[in-house]
Amino acid sequence: MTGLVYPRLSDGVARPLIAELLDASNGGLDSVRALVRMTHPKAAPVATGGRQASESDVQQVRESVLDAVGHWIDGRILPRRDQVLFDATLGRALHQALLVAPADAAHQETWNFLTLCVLPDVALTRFPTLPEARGLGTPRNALRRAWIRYEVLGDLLMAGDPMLGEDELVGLLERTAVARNRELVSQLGVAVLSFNGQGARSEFARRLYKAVRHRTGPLMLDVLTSAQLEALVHAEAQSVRAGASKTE
Amino acid sequence: MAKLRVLPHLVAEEDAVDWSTWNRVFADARVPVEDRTDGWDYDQELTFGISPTFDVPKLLESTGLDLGDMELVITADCNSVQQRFMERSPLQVYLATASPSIELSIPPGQVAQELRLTAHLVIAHDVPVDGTQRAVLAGSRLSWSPSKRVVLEGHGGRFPTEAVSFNDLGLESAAWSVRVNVSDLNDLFAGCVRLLLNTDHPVGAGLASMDAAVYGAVGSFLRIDIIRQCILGVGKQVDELGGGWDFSADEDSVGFVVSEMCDYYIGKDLTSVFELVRTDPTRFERVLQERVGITIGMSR
Repeated sequence: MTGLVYPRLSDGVARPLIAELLDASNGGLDSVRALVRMTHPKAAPVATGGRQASESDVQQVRESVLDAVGHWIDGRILPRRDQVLFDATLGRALHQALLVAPADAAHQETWNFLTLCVLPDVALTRFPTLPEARGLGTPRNALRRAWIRYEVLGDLLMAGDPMLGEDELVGLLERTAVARNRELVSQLGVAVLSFNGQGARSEFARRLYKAVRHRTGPLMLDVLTSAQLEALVHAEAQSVRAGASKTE
Repeated sequence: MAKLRVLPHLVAEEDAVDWSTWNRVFADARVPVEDRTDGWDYDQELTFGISPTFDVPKLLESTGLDLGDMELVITADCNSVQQRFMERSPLQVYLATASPSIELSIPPGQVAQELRLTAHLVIAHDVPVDGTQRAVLAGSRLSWSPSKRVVLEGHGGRFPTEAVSFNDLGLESAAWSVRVNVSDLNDLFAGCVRLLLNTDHPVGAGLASMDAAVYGAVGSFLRIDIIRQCILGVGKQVDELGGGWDFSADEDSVGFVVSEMCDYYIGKDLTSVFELVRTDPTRFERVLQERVGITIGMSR
């Protein structure tokens, strides 16, 4: 199955919705929820291909996501200490509920609709000022970034104590040489979560990602087996730790 | 090879590899890849192939390796879904094939917007160090083609179509069904109108796979049915409004698009066409057939 396709809302129609939602947020959660809708007269799915999500499918998405993160949606600002867990939980819920065709999820307009019509209260809880980059369906969109992280990392996103943080995740997924090799991304995530050396884990992660990216010049890492990738990442992690100890 | 990249090991001499050109591979044909892919949607698999040729002596001499050490890899990078798809073949196996080609199939719904296709020659496994500068690590790059950019999705309008199993939806086993659901003439056309093609039905399945023979046989009947259903669905709304609605402002609206259909196919405005539907439905059908045309073997 190719997955579901959802209604798409153009940026031109989406932008005024952001303003409307921010205005409503001044009146509290109920005012925002009054603007929730499962359809929009200016939204339509892609013209051809894919099974169109019905209105009840969209309703089910909202219910499933609220089942997962609803206890954080109380009209108050999300505590900073909860942001990582919130994003990971949201990503998993979206992945499980949407069943969206990756091709459809690649479109900004799809996330415009899901964010501003279906789950605006969730988006506003995470980003109360909802700047355009977070409200529109850009790669940094409140929902889209959570979804793609779970798509790539799966339950690794929920693992660890502490879990993979914002900086670690951004560094992992922002450079195409690494980000498009999902096996490599997982191996790097495991290596970061396994860090038990001196200094900040996020700094270790940054150096490890850089070292591995450097290897993609002479080597095509996509052809390596899981075991070979694991060995390569392990070797680079050791090298980074050794280099860090020398400088301390 | 594309772009100058300095590597810490020996690479293939440039004229040791002729990468040739990319093809899009269908069940019964290979078509050179254009900059834009036509007729593709999320329900279709995409298969690309390439058939590079090698000057084997030059290849072996310049890399210092054996044929068995190398493999061919092709990749399709899709930035919008953040994924790379790959296919690989040992070079010896590739060269031993009568009409060698390496192909990569991308399942339906997995990519969007555009792809970059690249072919690579790499080392298949670790190779002993021999004191020369030859590459020794698995995955070492030896040669690569220029990337071919392919646009998958354009911005032109296409009729909203969905291939589905009518059995799954609990619908009668028709070949197709035109769904028109208009509550406001200013609503998006693409949101109100949808052609459902029944994948359980041979004709529906043929239309969904853009089979030329099926289109030739039923295409004009399908076109007439779509226009009829659109006119009936929208005309009713116009009728209820007493013809006082101006839908000229929004070119994406269902009212505007169907009005354009009436002008183009029937030569009358929507209100007049719906008046005809109401007063003389039999004549409306004849007008529709005459103006749209019933043909056998029309192209889609």
